[in-house]
Amino acid sequence: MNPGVRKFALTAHLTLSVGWIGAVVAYLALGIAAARSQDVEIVRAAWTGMELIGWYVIVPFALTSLLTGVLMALGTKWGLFRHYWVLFSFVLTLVATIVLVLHMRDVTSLADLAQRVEGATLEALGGDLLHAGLGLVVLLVVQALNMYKPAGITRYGWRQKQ
Amino acid sequence: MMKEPAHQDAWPRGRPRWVTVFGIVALVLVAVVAVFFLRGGEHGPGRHLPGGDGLESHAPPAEHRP
Repeated sequence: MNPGVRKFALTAHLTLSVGWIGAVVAYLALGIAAARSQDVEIVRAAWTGMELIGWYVIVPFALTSLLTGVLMALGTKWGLFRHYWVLFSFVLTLVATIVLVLHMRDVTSLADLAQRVEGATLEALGGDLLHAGLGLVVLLVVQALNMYKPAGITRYGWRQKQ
Repeated sequence: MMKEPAHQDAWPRGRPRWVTVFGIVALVLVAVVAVFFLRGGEHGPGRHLPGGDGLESHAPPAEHRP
């Protein structure tokens, strides 16, 4: 990968990754509103917002962040399986993306349900805080790994180096 | 007695401590999730309802599809 392309890919990857984290924080804010508000309209609007942010911001950011991350790894000296920090970042991002896409189908169901129910059932929907909170923790761990790049070469990486 | 020098091609000192810690945390999390599912824990939109029925997973909202 030549320096110009690498710079562009890195810029895209950073933008998409940080955008993913920011979108999850926005999703969490709506989730807190859905969980805490006593106003039926606010709860319904929050669930609609969570569904839209999820499908049209978080999922695209997740997929493109994963894709640009793999391209960056394969196109630079780091490789995808040579360093533990890259390997862990890849696995965590892959798992987070799979769980996200599977979970978004439930979010759509819940957003749909929120428009039809009220009272105790609406309150029981909560705000999807556990999934979003755990997802945010995973993303922050990946971000820290990418910034600190802790030392550690895999057995495969060592063989490649010889 | 002098120690025999490590072979030049040998993998240096195995894996770092942070990798071991990460691995243990990952195993614990996988075990927690496995126990949750093996004990019959329901995971999906139905768990929010008293009856737990009448809900199916959906694709992206049709009215908002580009």
